[in-house]
Amino acid sequence: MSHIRKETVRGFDTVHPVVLQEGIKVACQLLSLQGLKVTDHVFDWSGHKVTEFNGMKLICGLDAQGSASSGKFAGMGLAIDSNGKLAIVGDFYYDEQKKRAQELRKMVETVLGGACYFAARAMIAQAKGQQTQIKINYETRQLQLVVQM
Amino acid sequence: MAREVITIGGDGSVGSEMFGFKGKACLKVAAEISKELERLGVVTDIGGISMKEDAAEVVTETQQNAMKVERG
Repeated sequence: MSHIRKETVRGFDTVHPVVLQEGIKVACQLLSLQGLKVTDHVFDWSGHKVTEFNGMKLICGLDAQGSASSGKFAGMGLAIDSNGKLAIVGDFYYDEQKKRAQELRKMVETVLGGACYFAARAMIAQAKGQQTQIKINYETRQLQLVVQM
Repeated sequence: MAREVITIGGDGSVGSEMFGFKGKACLKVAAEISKELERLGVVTDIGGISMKEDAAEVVTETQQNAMKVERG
């Protein structure tokens, strides 16, 4: 029996949905640099890979380890719903899974604001025809956006 | 040619030589420049970062907008 469900997160609907989408990718890259496993899917109760939920395509899955029924963490999916709100998707049934989901949600909320700004600046530079580069510093675990003006 | 380098760290703080934001302020300024972006015309993809099967993969170079990702 699957308990996979969607929950929206308040606050991030103040940015354009496309900025939010690219911001989520930047945030996931930052979390990946911190050692978090990032995938394009989460797992359901039985261990099937889920990349779409109720017509909503997942942008990424965080820390997807295995089927929810096994007690492993099945992953926390990030997506944008039809109203432009940040959506969290996952099968968090056992207490440990719920606890892990809360931890990850906090990590995402910590970096996503800056990640949206970072993404928006990149998009603005591109819209203006400026050359941009994204550099990854593995030592400092930072991302750098270089804009030639 | 002038250039600006914007850095984002693992704590979500973002900044350059000219500015710096941390915490909730980041989302506020993101919302503000999001409006500027709408005026300019929204680019659908910043390129450079894409999600693949097993990891967030770094694309070494995209054709779109001459955007590059370098390992530095």
